Amino acid sequence: MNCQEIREQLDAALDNQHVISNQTNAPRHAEVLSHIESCSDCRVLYEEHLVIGTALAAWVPQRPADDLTDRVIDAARQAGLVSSNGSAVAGTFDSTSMGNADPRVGRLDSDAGVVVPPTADSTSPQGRNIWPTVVTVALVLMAVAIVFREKPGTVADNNPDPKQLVPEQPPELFQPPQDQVADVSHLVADAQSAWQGITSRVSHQASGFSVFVPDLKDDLGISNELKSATDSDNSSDDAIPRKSSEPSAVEKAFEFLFKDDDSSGTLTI
Amino acid sequence: MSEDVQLVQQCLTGDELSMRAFLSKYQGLVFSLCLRMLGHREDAEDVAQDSLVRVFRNLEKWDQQRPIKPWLLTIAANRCRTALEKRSKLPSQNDLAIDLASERREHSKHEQEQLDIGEELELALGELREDYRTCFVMYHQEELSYQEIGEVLGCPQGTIKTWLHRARAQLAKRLQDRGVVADPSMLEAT
Ligand SMILES: [Zn+2]
Repeated sequence: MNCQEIREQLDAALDNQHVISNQTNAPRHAEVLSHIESCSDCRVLYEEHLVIGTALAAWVPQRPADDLTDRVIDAARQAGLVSSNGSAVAGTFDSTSMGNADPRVGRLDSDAGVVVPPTADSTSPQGRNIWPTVVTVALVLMAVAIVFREKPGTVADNNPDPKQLVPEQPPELFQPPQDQVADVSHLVADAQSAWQGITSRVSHQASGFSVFVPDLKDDLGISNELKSATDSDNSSDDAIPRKSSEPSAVEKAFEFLFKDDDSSGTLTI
Repeated sequence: MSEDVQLVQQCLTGDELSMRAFLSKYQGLVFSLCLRMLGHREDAEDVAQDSLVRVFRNLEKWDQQRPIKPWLLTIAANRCRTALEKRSKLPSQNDLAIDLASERREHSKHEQEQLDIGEELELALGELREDYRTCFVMYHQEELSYQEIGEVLGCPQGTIKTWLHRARAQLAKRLQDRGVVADPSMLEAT
């Protein structure tokens, strides 16, 4: 063999993941040894060939950490790529578990709907899993509706104290200076009386959603707010627009009262 | 129906056990590519995870008439390139080699053992150009063909063949520089 042939043979052997040796190919090995006795260039190449072959034989693949599989599965699950149609989920799910249901169960159900093709085997358990959720949500909504229908005064009863309705306004703001207590204390009393009248009126009329204080509603800007409160979804948090940037109805009422002393006497609801 | 096709079809239903079987078969391959391209173990695991989730997300796009290895490795290679761009610099030095060297020092300190020739190969690989290194590992460790490596790296087969030969030559010299030599008995006629 000439130099070119030797090099091609060496490359071909490594391409096939082995070295030329007296164990793998004794005749070829003999040819190579014969050539390198008189060719230093090819001897260098053959030495490199043997070094690479030896290193490859001792080479241990680098493998990932053991938890990579779990990490991928978890990420795939979050991406909605893992089905929940295994017996562990579909077979044990019932309405009694809704009280402390694992949120992952619900997510798995929805995730499964994304990737599982609509075959008879896969859709049936998912369909069964949906109904307990639907029925339970419906029952909860009905119970909430019944409770608030039976308590028309809820809006006022939950917040009987006017001070609670204006949490941003510290109580000190309503305390007049000591030298003016005698002059304005009756105004504070009137304001409280007015508020009690308002809430009382709301309590009685909330169920009918009727408009009240017709003669003052424009000045106070109060009727729409309270009407919308009674129209809301019966949530005590939502019933009062506490975070509005506009002055609340109560603030307007107080402002109105303090501006005009005479009007306090006409505030009869 | 091939084994891969059957496994992929089960994965497409979202069956977790099938997906785990798929990972058991291919995550090492994907990680290996990521490790060689990124040169950093933790980065490689992160990108391998991202790549494998993308593989699952796009399994239906795999042409079942073709081998799956180049297809999923192409996804991983693209993710690695994106990661390298985010890193805003190519790895000037292979962190894996640093890790191995560190392990070697600890190993020597505690057990006084000679560094395994396989680890020497890892260290030498870390000093190679990234495309040479990837080419070498894909060919000799993951046993992809020239054509498959060309698909993954987006290069003609001739280029892959050239890179592989250069990688071998450079590795051999680096190994020899590190004291790894051929068995003298292999160089003498018996
Ligand atoms: Zn020669």
